[in-house]
Amino acid sequence: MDCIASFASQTYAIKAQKALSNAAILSRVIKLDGEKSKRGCAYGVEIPCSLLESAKKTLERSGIRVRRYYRGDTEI
Amino acid sequence: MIYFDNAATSFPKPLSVYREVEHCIKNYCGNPGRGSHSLSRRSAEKVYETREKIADFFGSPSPENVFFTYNDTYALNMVIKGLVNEGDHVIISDMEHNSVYRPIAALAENGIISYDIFDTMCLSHLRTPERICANIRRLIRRETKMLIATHVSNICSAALPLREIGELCRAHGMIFVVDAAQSAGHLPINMAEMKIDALCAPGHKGLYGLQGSGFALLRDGLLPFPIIEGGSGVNSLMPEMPEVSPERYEAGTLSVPCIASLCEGVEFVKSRGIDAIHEHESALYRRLSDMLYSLPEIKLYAHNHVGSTLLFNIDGIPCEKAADLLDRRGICVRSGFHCSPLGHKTLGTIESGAVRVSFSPFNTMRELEFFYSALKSIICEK
Repeated sequence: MDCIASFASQTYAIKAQKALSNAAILSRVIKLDGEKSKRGCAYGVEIPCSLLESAKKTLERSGIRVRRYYRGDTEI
Repeated sequence: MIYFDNAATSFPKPLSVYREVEHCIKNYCGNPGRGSHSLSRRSAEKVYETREKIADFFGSPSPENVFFTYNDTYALNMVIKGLVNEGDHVIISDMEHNSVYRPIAALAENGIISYDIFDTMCLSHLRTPERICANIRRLIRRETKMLIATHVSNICSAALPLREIGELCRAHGMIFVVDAAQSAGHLPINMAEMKIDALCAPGHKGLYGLQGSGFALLRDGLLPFPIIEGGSGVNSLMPEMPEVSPERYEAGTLSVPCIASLCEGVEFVKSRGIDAIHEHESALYRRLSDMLYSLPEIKLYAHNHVGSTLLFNIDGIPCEKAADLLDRRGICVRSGFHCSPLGHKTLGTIESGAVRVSFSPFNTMRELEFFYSALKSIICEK
């Protein structure tokens, strides 16, 4: 299963993807749906859940603010 | 044709710019931030790459602080009007283009702000950064919120000491806004080192993008109120614009071909080297200045400032007529007031206007020789 990090905008999602890519973490920018996009169109990055912890550390080190993390549809 | 009007817009553009625009239009010109399909994504990635290049080029660590506009004037209006409040006082220079002067004058006319104009001492041989800063210091009040300065004038090559002015603004808690219309791509600019809070620039002049490209680059934490609202691709169900830059300031569809052109234009400047560009343009300036100085019928203005822009008049020939006669000889220059009444007042050309010559890295010494001959023939025929 993939985990998802959601961001304030698509720009931040692309920035996050680049930071993850530099840390050799494969991810993909996606448009969020359902509960994850309650305020309308929203973007996030899909990450393998097995790499979630190192992804979290990478994003924190890069100063990229993550709105929420999800495992599937569940906020974590 | 010889093109000496690069201060208005640069021509020609580097080949890489033409190629990228064609590639963009043919292959990846989707609507960025408006979908999850591959074309939209590729556009968005190009837009982000351009933000990265611009942020890096101007010494900012934050690509998301770059927001795109249609030109420098839009960027300046968004920054100025998005940051001032009723009762604020603003300081501007005596060389500002109408892109700064008019929004400030309109805000003052509507009773929202007051403003003062500082003396840049463009014609004085006593001009130093310290003296310019002393002129600014005299105008600072408790309610002074912002200082706006053009880096380089659009009618002569006078540059302002951004580093010293930035220090002064930071010390007095003023927001420092820089109009880099004539310096972006011509002179080094580092936002962090110069303590610039907001840098506004066109894409189509010294950065070699298409007309329709421009941007503002904000320091971290500076969030002007958005003055244009609309679709942003995020938080679409909410009535207000997103809280974060750049989407907060980019209502409506971006021009991806223009942004892609800017991406390649910045790359061109980086690869050629900004110092090499400045040196080339300064060499042209010095040569032309010497040529014109040898003609007693020519009056040069503020020619002690070396750079890419030179202003002159021909004795007995109105500037518009001179530009027309040059145009008939295949030379493009700009005459009149160059949307810069403050600057022309400062240089003493507010009654007559003047002829402006402005260079790019594509101009050559040989073109100067042709220009000089044309000018001499105009003088002979007068």
